[in-house]
Amino acid sequence: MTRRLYRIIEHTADTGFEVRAPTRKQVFESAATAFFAILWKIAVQQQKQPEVIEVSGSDSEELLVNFLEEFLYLYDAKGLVCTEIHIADINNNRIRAKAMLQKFNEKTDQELLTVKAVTYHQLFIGQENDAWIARIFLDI
Amino acid sequence: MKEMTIHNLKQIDQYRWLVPKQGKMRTDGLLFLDANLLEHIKNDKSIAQVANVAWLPGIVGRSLAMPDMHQGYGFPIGGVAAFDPDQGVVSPGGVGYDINCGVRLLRSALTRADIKDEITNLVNTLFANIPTGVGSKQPDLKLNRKQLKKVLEKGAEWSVKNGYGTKDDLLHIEESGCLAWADPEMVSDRALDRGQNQLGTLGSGNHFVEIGFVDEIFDHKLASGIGLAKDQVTVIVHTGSRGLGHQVCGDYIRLLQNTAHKFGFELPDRELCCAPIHSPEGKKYLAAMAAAANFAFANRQIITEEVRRTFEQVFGSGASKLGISLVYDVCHNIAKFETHTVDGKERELVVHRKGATRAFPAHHPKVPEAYRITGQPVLIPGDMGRYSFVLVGTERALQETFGSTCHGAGRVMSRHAAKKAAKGHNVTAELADMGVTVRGAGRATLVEEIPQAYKDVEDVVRVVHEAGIAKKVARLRPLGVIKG
Repeated sequence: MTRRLYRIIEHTADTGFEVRAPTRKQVFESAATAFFAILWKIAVQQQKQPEVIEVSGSDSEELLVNFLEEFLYLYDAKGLVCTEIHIADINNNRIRAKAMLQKFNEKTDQELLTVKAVTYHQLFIGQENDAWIARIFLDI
Repeated sequence: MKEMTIHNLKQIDQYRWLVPKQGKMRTDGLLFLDANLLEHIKNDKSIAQVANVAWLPGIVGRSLAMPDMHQGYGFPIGGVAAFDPDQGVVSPGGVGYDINCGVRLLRSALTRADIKDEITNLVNTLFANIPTGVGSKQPDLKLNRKQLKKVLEKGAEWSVKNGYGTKDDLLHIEESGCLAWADPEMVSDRALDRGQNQLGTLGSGNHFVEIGFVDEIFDHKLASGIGLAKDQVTVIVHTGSRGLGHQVCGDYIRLLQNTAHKFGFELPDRELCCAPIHSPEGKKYLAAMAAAANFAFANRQIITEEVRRTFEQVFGSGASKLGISLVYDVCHNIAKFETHTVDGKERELVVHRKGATRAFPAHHPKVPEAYRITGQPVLIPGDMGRYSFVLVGTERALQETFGSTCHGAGRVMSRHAAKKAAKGHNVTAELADMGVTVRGAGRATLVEEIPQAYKDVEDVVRVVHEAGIAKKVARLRPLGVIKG
């Protein structure tokens, strides 16, 4: 069995999670992938052309919040879910990523958690020892 | 990030605890709790959050927390704080992501006996008529941008004008269902996108419509004053501004984080970002927040009409014969301009209520005519298995809490823990054994919302009643619930 993608952080009213990765780019990818796994169970991944997503933020924390919020917006406003994400470029305040997006299928797909927002509460992104860590709390 | 961990809590009486001003706090904190409720929250960060709110510039009076307090983002849930409009700030974190999440209570001319054989039918019909869950859409409501902006400007009045409910309904809503300072132009396109298809939908999470009945009356005079009698059928609607409100909050947290340095505020928590009320940023947020609040008022109004339609379908008679009328509609997450007396002087303040309910007393000019003698009705929903309470506002609430009281039970279990606790249980069947027919859009929501995940709302209501910041009138028991 492979290592768990993320760890849930208990919080009475809400839910947080933590991911670890060897690089900054990968910790953003892992955070997004974990976010998708916490939100949805998608029955079938469709083979489509990836779409380019660009997000900016004034620092790493804001960049991470805005990155995850982007998928919340796509889901809420357009009914799109992301099944795979690859970050093409990342610097201090911008991400360019390729995302596999598909329509949420109400018959076969499942929403596991209703998230209102990605918050700044106890938000952390940074290096601890050799690993990059991101800790994020969601308002649900 | 600095967090205050030592609170030097001082017990004032059985239900009041002082968090003395210390460090950078500008004022004391005051918690309304009994010893039992204090046990529940003493290890989370909510007391530190009450202290953190007291750091904010221009705070008037104390940083307050109601007995259903628990850890939130920036402000605690259950937090109330008032600010001077000239010296003070407004904070999106003091309102929360679900702007104007709130509840309304409907009464009917039916009794429990009249509906006992139709509960399943009623629940199924409600479920068919009210779109629930995330991504749910109102098939009958296709709004263009212009119409959506009208909703944001007019609130519940828009719904009534468009055939959802009566003018009389508007008289029974906090602020008559419209915050007049709303400006739809301050709401982003993204927020409009998220709200475009969500008007008239319940949403997910802890939102619900519940059919119940009055099972106990604590004060007969007050109950009859607000039109409630034993065994009378009632309906509670709990929902808010949906994705539109969440996006407005997120947008302005982003904006204010990037302007905080401009104002030179020292903040203990990033989620407490704020702007002076009179600054362009503060004004914009207040205008956008009011627009989102109006969306929520319009939303609950449309759902009310769907409830009426449901009862008409099931009982085959007109809504007026079934007597389904609005008792009151209250906001839980809001910042509002209100006039209060502070140290003997009348002042206009911006009162933030985050997971708290306005509770104005009898004879207050903001209380509608129908409740001038009783005081404003306050509705406190509990978990879906137990009961909810109807109370009225009091003079003491006006003096001590800017006319505020609690808003609900508050969780004791995280959603994750609730899922674990519900493992192997058939939640629907167990609720049916308790006499409650429930339908949810997904099992996930149902298990997260199991009754055991919440405090007993009676424990919370007892504190506000005994402390005098609301007065118990009646208790309602659920019969049928639809969950998002």
